[in-house]
Amino acid sequence: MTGHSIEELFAQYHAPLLRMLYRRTGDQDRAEDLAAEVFSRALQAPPDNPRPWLFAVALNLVRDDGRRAVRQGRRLQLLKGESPVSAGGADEDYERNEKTRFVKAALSELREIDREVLLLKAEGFDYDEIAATTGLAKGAIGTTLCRARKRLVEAYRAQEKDKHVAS
Amino acid sequence: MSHLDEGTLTALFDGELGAPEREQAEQHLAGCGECRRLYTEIRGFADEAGQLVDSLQPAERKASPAPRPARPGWERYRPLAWAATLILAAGLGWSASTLRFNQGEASDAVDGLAEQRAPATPTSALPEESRDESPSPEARERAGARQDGAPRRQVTQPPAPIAADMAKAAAPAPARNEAEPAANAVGRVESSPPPNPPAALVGTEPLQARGAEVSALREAPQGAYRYRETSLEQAVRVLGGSVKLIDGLNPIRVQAGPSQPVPGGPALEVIRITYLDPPGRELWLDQQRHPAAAEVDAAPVADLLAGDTTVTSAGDGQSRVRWISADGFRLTLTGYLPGDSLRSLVRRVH
Repeated sequence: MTGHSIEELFAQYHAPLLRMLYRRTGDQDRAEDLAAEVFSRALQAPPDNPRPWLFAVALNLVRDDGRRAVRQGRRLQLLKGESPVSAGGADEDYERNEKTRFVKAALSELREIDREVLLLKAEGFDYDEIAATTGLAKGAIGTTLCRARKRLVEAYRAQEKDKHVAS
Repeated sequence: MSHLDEGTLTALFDGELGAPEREQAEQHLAGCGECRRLYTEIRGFADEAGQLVDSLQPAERKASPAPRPARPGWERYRPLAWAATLILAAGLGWSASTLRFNQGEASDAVDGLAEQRAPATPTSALPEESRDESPSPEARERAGARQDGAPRRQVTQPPAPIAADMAKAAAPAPARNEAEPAANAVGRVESSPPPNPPAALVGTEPLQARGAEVSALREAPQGAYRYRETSLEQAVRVLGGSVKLIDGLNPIRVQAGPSQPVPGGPALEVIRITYLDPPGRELWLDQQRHPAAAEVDAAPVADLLAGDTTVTSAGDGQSRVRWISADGFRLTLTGYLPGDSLRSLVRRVH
């Protein structure tokens, strides 16, 4: 590992990685498991350029995990599967938050690449880093981000509108 | 000047334009109402989207500690090795004194040692891991790591996702079909087959045979397939003196798989070497080799002949390449990559 111990990587990147994974999966337990797996892999194959590497591995794991879940007939409980009565105090309050559910639902409507670019940008990645992490050309990042932001906002507004119609 | 596109306006908002481009864009905005309106809209969406994403925060929990580097190989068992050394030294000292002072009973003493080594319990009553069912010199050679004081199995406790993969690897043992005697290295990969035959099949692999194998795998009992961690040195020993590696990629895990019969030869372990490619996707290279590979490969092995390469793609994105190398290795490379990408990696396996 060029200049980074695993402890340093963990201290520096665990929180943003977990946050991105939580936003991406909508499931805190899954996000924590995936984050642990990312650092386990960093231990096995130390990255030269840790930030794009860690996030790229995390996004790959999310995709692979999703495929595996589908193969096993296990449906991801991103949105609809969330129990109205959740397990723990803080989580319960959090998951009951209507805005949170709407945002998760809106995010789930985005294209995979749009969602990834949006979430990486939210973690402070610049266009070069987003390109390195996702494999997109740098010149395509602006257009992708523009589309992702617009669709997220529109999908969120649609959720709110549906709620008002239903109530 | 034509209007600015959304990508440029977004890059301007994000501060991603270089100085000349930014200056040019700002000059254009100053004189173009339509682009200013679009820029305002883009900025509004960006602000609102940012707030929405920021509203998603994971609950604060006590973070698990950073993973620690595993102690490699036998070092994990260094304390046990010390204890074993002391016990061995004491045992040898006692034996030597017995031989020295009871010359007339030397042969009895040696017999006694042999009895001490013999299992007090019938092997059938021992746990499966403890049995030594291969008393031949070759088998003892393969079990060499166990003779140096290290434990029989060096099973590490992997992180949960890896453990899940390993558990999957431990699933069904093939009730072997005599008509298809050696799926060899492929057997484990197909222990979790997609529900239907692969969506795309390139090569000569007969679907009927694969179907039989898949159904046999499903019916086989759980737990019969189990990979254990091993070292490259041990893998080289198992494979008869050499091991295949992928140029340019670093192995992250070396495992030895279940013994599987090769036609006309003894049961041979499969060596699995797992890699991460640059984007962090796992690939695993399974390999098996018969000591007299050239003779065995003269006959067809399952559905594969020497020189054949088959590429199989499952619907879930997993692909697999199988081939037999000129020097008699049966190889399988599997991963969540397009089949063509895997096939190109085959050229780097040496």
